[in-house]
Amino acid sequence: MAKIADWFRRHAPDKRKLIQLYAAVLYNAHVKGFITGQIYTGRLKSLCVPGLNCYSCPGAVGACPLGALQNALAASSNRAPFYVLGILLVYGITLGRTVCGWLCPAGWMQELIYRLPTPKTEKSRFTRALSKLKYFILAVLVIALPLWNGLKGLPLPAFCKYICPAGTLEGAVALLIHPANGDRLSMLGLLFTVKLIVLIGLILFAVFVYRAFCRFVCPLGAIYGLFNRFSLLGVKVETSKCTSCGRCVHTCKMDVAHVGDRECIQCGECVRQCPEKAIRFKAGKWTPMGPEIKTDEEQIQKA
Amino acid sequence: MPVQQDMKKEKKAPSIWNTVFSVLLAALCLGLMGACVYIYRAGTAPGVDVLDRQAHFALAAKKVCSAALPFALLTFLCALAAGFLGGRAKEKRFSSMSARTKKMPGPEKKLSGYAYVFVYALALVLILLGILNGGLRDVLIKAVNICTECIGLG
Repeated sequence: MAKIADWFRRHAPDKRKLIQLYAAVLYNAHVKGFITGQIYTGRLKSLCVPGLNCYSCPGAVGACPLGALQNALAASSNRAPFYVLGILLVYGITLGRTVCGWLCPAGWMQELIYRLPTPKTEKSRFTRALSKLKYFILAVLVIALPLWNGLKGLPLPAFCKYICPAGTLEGAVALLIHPANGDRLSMLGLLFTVKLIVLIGLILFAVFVYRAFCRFVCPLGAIYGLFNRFSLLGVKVETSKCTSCGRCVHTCKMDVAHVGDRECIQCGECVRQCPEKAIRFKAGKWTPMGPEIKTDEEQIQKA
Repeated sequence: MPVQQDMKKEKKAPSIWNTVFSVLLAALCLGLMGACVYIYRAGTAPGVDVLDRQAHFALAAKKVCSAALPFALLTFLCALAAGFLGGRAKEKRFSSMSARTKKMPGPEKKLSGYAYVFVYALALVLILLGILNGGLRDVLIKAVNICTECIGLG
């Protein structure tokens, strides 16, 4: 009995895993949808959730920010996409890529899959270069194509249509496995086949490559990454204590050049690794994780 | 802990489960690649009418799923067995000599408090404008209808 208890204690999920789980459950809290096979149609769906979560999932209670952005850009010949841009600005400046590390179900699932005991790839200059791909996907599939086609009167959410694995898994598979949606099976075709191959490929990649989708493909991560250095919440380095040993960057599984850059998902692993205790997870003046370090101004004020 | 001390390397011999799982996973990957080719060829075979192509793709995908599912399940069970019964992977060795990093950047760059206030005010204005011009309604309408394009149903 003590052995079992010890095993559970050693394998208990940490705070971040629990928060990721809660976020995934909250985003898909419409349990009735899984039972009836119908999606939620309440007014709460006008609010975008911070992470990547397809709004065609039977359990989804909010809208996907990426899908909303593409549709808003596609409709920009009628109205400017103020609402979605405002929402993304709030999430970006408040959280940055903390969303990726703590609040995204897609990232959480990849981390679970990565735990499978297989050989793993290490990051390198190649993976760092490949991490630029998501900015290209953002520019072309999320912004340019929907905008261009929308202005011609042919709405095209290109990323959602051709790539997004969340749509295939949470939307298509979750809906189609329900008997009530049997009539939609006749709609399966080449597009679904392509998307299924993309989904399977990304899942397989996730086994060997840490967060392959987040690092190389996800345009939502690309958007939030632009706010990373200025976000209120995130990991910060106390440069007076930092000795540039590089342990934080070396142990980080993302393609960071330094802590808190655009590739950093603010998971807080570097806070534990830093031998000088120079890194902390800050939320404004509050330090939820890491040593309490007062800046010079704060110390003077205290005195 | 001294900065330049290497982390202790913990090494155990991998168990048979790890090996079996690795072989099964490799076979699954190869099988899936073959399945992709099979599905493509099913739909583009010479005798297939262009109008029936999608139905052939779907049928081939369904056959692949039925054949692959037991194998995938077996692989998953081996993964679980490997996870609980298998040996441990090598711990990552760290040495400050091997870390190639740029010197940490200078003082933390951040926006002043007024800049944050301005950004939040801007976001609020954008959201309000979006509500007034019907952007909120558009998001709601799109979200409460199944996006067949987004889920791959065309």
